[in-house]
Amino acid sequence: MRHASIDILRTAAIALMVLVHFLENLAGALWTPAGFGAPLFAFLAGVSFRIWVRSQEAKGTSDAAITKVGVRRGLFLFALGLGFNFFVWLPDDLYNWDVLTAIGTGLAVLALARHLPGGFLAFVSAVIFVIAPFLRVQADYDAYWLELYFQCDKTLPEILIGYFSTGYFPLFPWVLFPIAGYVAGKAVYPDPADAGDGPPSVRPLLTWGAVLVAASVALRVVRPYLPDPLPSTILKGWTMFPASPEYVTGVLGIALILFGTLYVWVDRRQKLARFPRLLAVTRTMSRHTLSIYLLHHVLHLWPLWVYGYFSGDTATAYWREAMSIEMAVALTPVCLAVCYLLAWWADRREWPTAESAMRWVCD
Amino acid sequence: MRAWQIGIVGGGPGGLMTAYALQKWANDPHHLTIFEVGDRLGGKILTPSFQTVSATYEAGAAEIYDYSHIDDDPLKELIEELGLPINRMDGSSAVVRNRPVANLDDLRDRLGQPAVDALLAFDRQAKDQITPGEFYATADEHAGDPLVRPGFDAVLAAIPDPAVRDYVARFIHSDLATEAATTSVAYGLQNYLMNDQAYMSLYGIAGGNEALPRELAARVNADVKFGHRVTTVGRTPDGRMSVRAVCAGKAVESTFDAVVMALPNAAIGGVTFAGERLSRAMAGHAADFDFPAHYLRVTVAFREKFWEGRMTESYCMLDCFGGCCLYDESSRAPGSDVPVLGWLIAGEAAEALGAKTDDELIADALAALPEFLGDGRELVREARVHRWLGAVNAVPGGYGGHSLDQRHRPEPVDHPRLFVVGDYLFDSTLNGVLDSAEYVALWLVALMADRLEQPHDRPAPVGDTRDVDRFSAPVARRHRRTPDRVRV
Amino acid sequence: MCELPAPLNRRAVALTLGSTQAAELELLSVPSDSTEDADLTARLREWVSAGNPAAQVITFQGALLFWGTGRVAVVAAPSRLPPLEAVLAELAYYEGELADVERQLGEAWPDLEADGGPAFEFDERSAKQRDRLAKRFRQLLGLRARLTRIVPMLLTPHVYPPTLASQVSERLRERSRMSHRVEMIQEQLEVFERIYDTVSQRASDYRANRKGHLLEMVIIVFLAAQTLLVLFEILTNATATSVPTATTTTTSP
Repeated sequence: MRHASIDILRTAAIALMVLVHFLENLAGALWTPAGFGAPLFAFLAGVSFRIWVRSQEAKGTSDAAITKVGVRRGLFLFALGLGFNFFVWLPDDLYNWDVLTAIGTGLAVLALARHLPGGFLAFVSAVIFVIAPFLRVQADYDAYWLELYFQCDKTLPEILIGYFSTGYFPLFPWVLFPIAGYVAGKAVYPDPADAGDGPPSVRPLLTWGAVLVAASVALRVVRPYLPDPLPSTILKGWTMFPASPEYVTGVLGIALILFGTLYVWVDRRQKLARFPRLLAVTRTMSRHTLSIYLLHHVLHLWPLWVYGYFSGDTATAYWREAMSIEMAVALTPVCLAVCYLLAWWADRREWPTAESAMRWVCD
Repeated sequence: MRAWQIGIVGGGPGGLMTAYALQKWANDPHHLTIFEVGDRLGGKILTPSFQTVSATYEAGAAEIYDYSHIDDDPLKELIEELGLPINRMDGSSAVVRNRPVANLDDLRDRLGQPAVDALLAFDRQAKDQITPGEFYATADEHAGDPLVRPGFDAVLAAIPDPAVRDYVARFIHSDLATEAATTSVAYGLQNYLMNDQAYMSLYGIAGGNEALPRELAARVNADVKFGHRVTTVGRTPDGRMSVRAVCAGKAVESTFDAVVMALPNAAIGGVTFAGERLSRAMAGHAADFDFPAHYLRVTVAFREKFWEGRMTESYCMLDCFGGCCLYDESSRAPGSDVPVLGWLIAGEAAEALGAKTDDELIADALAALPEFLGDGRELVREARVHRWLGAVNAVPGGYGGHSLDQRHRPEPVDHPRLFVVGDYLFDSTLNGVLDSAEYVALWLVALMADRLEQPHDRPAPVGDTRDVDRFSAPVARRHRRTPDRVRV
Repeated sequence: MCELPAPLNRRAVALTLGSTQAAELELLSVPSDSTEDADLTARLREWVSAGNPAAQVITFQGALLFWGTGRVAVVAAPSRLPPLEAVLAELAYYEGELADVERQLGEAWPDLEADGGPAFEFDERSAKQRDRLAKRFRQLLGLRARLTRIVPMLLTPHVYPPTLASQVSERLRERSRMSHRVEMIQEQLEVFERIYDTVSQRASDYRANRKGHLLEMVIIVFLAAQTLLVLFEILTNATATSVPTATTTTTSP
C-alpha cells in the first residue's frame, strides 16, 4: 500500500537534494533551505521502515525474519554508501560517511530495537542529540574540516571518529533522524492491536514539531548572548556541517510538522485526490528515491570528473566551479525530468534498480 | 481368621440395603445369607406390568422422598451410585366436592376467604413447630420430642373451619395411611409439611422403583434362600445365632455370627424367638411399634388419557375413601402410550375395603373418580389390585422414646448380635429403611473390625456388653449422614 | 401493574394503546372460564408465535398461558387475571434480563478467545490493550451484577400453600429452565472472570516490571553514552600525534 503523503515528501526530499547538490557541486553555492533534503530523506527512511515492519507483521512474517531482513537492508544501505563514496565520489573519499551509511546504520539499529517503546526510542534520540556536540568537541571537529570539506587520515581511529562524529553524515546526530522517523511512523501507523477506534491523532506530532522549531529559533536567537564556549563549540548556528543543535531541532521539527500535516491532508482527507497525475509522478519518484539519489550524483559528478581529468590538472578541477548558479538551478529540473523518465521506464520494463537490488539481496 | 457369617431375614429393601451396605463398608471377610419367604426380592417395592397391555406401574412404594436440598440424602446418593435415573413428581391439587382445588385461589372460590385464613393459620402453626431442618432430623432419635405424642386429631380439631379441617385431613390421609386419631402429632404434622418443597420433594425412579432392589440384588454377593420361611431364631450354646427356616416343608437350620431381622413389624410376630429373654424382648419390640397402617393399590389401564389437560400433575388427592391419592402412573414413563391411573387407598378405608374382592374394589375406585374425570369409567382396559394391609406403620419410631440402639438391638444382653432393620423404626419410608439398614450395617462393620471380637475364636461371653459401649455410642452419634467417616 | 422486588426498584406499568413509548412486553389477557376453546387457542398461539416461533403453551390449573419473548397471552377466569398479569410481567422482565445477559456473554466469547493470550503471556502488545481489557472486565462485572440482582427472584423457593400466581411463576421458571440457565451463565461468568482476573494480574505485574526495566534501560543508555565519550577520548588521544592535513582530492557531497 502506498501512502501519498510519504510519496510527496520523498519526492520533495530528492528534489531538494538534487538542487542542493547541483548548486554546491556545480556552482559552489550554499543555500540553507536546500539543506533540508538529507534530514527529510533520513527521517522518511525511518517512517518507511515502520510501514514496512507493520505490513510484514500483518502478513504474518515471523519476528525473527523481520529483524533479519531489516538488519540486512541496513547493512546493504551502509555498504551502498561506502560503494557510492568509492565509485561516485573518488576512491580517496571512501570514508567520507555519506547519508546512506547513517541511514543504513539507523535501519539496522531499528530492526533490532523496534520493539522498544516509542517513548524510549525518543529518549535515545534525545541522548544522541545531546552527546553529539560533546563528541564533536572531543574529536576537535574543526580540525577535520579545514577547507569546508571533510578530510581524514586512513587510520582506524580517524575513520571511527569520522563515522561517529566528524564525517559528512556522522552517526551522531544523524542516526536520530531515522529513529525519530520510526517513532513518528509508529504514532501514525500503530500496530493494529494498539489502534484505537478512530484514526490516530497527529496532534502530538504537530506539537512536538512546533516545540522543536521553536527550540531551534530560540537557540539561534539566544546564541550570541550565551557565555563562551557554548556559542562557539556546542551551538553553531544553522549549519548542516556540523549538524548543529539548532539545525537538528529545526529540520526535525519541520519534518514532523510536514509529515503530520500531509498525512491528515493527503492520506486522510484526500485533498490531492483531484490531482491524480501529480500523485502518479510522486509515486514513481518515491519508488525510486534511492536510485535517483545515486543516479543524479552519477549524472552530474562523473562528467565533472572526466572533464576535469582530461582538461585540467585534476579530476576535481571543476568541482564547485563548473557553471553559474542560474545554470545549476536550470539544470536541476532537467535532471529531475530525466530521472523521472528513467524511473518510469524502469517501472514499465522492470529494469533492475537500487531498490530491487536491495530486495533481491536482503529479502 | 474365619469369615463372619451373617444371616439376614427378609429379602425386602431393608435386607438388601443392609447386605449392600455391609458389603460396601466391611473390611473384614464375611458371608451373607438372605432368607426370603417369597420368590422375589424387593418386598414392598414392586413395579409389575399389566397382562394385556405393555405398561408398568407402581404397586408398592409409590415415591421416594428427596431431602437433598437440606442435607445429605443417603437414598438419593445410593440411587445415583446405582446409576438409576429419576423423575421428579409433583402434585398440589386436591379434589373437593368434585372440583379441583390446586391453590389458595381455588380454595377461596370453593370455601371462601375464612377457609383460606384458617388454612394459612394452620400452615403457619405447623411450620412454627417443625422447621425443614428439624423435619430432616426428626426421623432420627426423637426421645423427649414433645410432638411425639398421640392425638394428631386434636391438632386438626383446633382448625376453626370444619371444611378446612376436613380438607387437611383428607389431603394428608393417603400419606399417613392411618387416621389422625391413631398417629402422633409429629407424624401428622410431618405428613402435612412434606407437601411443601422447602421440606422435601418427591421423585420416582425412571422405569420403576423396583429397579432399586433389582440393582441392589445384582450387586450383593449373598446366598439368597428363596422360599425359606424363618420360623425360629435363637442362640446356640457357644454364643452364635441360630436360624431355623422351613423350605418346601423341610426344616433347615443354620448358625450365624450375627442375624439381622429385616421384616415388617407385623411379620416379626410370625417368628418364634427361642429363649424367654429374647422372646420377651422381641414381643416387646413388636408391641412398641405395633401401629399397623394399611394401603390398597388399585391400578387401572385405560384406552384413552381422558384426564389430559384436566389433571396436569403427577398425582392429586381425591376426597373419597377419607382422602385418597390418585397417581397419573403414565407420568412416570413419559414415552408410554398406555394411560394408567393408580388409586392409593389408605388407613381405615383400606382396612375396611380389604375384605372386598378385586372387582368390587376396582368398581369402587372408578366410582370415586370426580365428575370432571367421570368419562373414564367406560374406558377401562385392565385393572389390578395390590393389598398392603398392615405393611406400614402409623407411628413410625413409636411412642416409646427408644434410642436408635434400642430400636435396632432389642435384646443386647444375651443376644447382642441380633439386629432389627425396618422402615417402621424411622419414618415408614424407603429413606427410613435405608437409614435403619445403614445403622445396623455400620454397627456390624464396627463389630467385625474389633480385633477382640473374632467371630469364632472368642465368642462374646454372655452378658458382656463391652462392644455395645465401645461401638454403639459413636455409631449412633455419627449415624445417618456420614457413614463413611465411621469406618474403623 | 406491579412493583418488582426490592433491589430492582422497577415497576411494570401498563401503557395505553397507541402510546409512543416502546413496550417491553405485549400482554394479552383474555377473561374466560373455559380454556378449551380451540379457535381461541389457535388464534392466541398464532399471535404469540408472531413474535417468537419458540412460544410455549402451558395449561395449568384452569389458566392457559402462551409464553414467548416479548409477547405473552393468558386466558383465565376474570378474578384470576390481575395477579397472573403481574406475575407474567415480572417473569417477562427476568426472562428478558437473563436473555440479555446470555446474549452479551455469547457475543463476548470471541473477545475472550482473543484475550486469552495475555492471560498466559502478557507482552508489550498486550500492554497496549490494557484499557480495552479493563473495559471488558468492567462490562463483565456489570453483567455479574445484573445477574446477581435477579438471581434471588429466579431461585425463589417453592411457595406453600401455593397461589395460582405462585404456581404459574414456578411452572414458567421451570419451563424456561431459568435455574439451569442461571447456573450456566454463572459458570460462563466464572470462566470470563478467571481469564480477566488473570489478565489484570498479569497486566499489573507487567507494568510494575516494565517500569523497572525501563529504568534499567535508561541507565544502560547513559552508561553507553558515557562509554562512547570515554571511547572518543581514547580515540582522539590516539590521533593527537597525527594532525590531519588537507588533501587536494577530497570533495564534499
